[in-house]
Amino acid sequence: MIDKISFKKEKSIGESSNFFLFLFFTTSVMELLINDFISKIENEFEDVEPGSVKPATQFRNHFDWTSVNALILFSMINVEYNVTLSAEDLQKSTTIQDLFNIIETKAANG
Amino acid sequence: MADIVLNNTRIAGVAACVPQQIDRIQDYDLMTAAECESFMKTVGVHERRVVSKGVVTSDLCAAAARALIQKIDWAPDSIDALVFVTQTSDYVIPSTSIILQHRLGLRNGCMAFDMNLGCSGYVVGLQVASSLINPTGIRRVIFLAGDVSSINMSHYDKSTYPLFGDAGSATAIEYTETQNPVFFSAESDGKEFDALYVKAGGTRHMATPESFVYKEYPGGIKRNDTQMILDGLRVFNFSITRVPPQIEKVLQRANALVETTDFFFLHQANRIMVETIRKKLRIPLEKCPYSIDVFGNTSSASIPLTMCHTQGNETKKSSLHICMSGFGIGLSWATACMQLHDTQILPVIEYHD
Repeated sequence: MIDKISFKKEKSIGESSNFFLFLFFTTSVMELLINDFISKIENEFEDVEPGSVKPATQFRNHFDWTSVNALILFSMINVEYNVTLSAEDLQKSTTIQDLFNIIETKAANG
Repeated sequence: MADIVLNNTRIAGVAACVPQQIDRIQDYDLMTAAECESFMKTVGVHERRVVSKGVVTSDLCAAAARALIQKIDWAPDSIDALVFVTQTSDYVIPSTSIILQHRLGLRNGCMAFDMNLGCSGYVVGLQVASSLINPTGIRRVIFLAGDVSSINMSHYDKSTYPLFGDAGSATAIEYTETQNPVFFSAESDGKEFDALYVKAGGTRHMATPESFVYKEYPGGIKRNDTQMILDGLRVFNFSITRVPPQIEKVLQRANALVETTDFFFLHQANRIMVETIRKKLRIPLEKCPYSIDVFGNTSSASIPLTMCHTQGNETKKSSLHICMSGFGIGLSWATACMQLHDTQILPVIEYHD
């Protein structure tokens, strides 16, 4: 899914005659993607109330954060995005957006 | 590359033996009720079997071997080799396999040796034991695998103590005239050896009184240097990255697909790890049997134990296409794909002291 989007982004840059359309398009696609990530997280954790997670949510405070829950998150990210997060990736992340940015970078770099 | 195909061997039978004593996760005093609940659901262990004092791996494996040899009617003097995979041997030296040759009443003309492997040990051991088979020499091998991991765990270490269970297994392998290709792949990465290890007690760090002193670690964990250290996240990442491509590769070499394979017996590391591998390979849940819920992670015995737990009965298995994969300590990972022919899988045996 990430691959398709980055392809679309490149194409949009190519059509730079309409810069504002590009901006609008990219922003809404980005929103779609992170919302999809959030809904996957909400599906995975039964205790988390649907709609309560936002990109700025600090996941360590929002979840009952244990090593078992970290494994659930790592598993979902690996299955859904084919990305393997490291302990360091987790350490330097505070928000859902931070995690999502790492997934995007790692997915783009193959 | 340790990718091989063997054409003239078959598994004649499989047996597994567990101790009688059950330890339930809900009774583990170091976890709260909520932690127990989350552990059971995600890690997948509800209870596990642990040996009573004095019972060791070779006892469980010998019980499994005796039951198996009797069931498939192998004369003890028809067995040409005994291979024993364990990380909990009877003595530092000699090899426990040689002691087992005598205990099982096998002849002196029987080759016997140990292999020190854990989670990948069943599949690597099966590859080595099957490779010994030769129509003019070794025609029958008894292959034993298991561990009493409970001996190596700190009661005060939530990352290991509630996870591992004790079990032993026996597998009978023999020469067959009929062409029966068995596909294997075994791989290793020693760079990551300290993701899962016991530091003291070998020759690099010999055990001293200091080795038995308990030290504190983050998360309220206490253990000494003769006990198992497990970096769960590193082992998890290794397994989910390395295992699915290996399984895909062996399936492809065997000209098999997930759809044409009846069962995938995956090492029962922990439920979420196995589930991640299963989902990545798009294996339907009913093709991926579990035993971790009632036996925990039983190291090299987990694959035969899962076979016996879910498939063990009086009927011999024929034409069943199976794939098995073991992965973990080493780090080491191995996969095999085969068709079973006339294979007797016994129900799980309980060990009586």
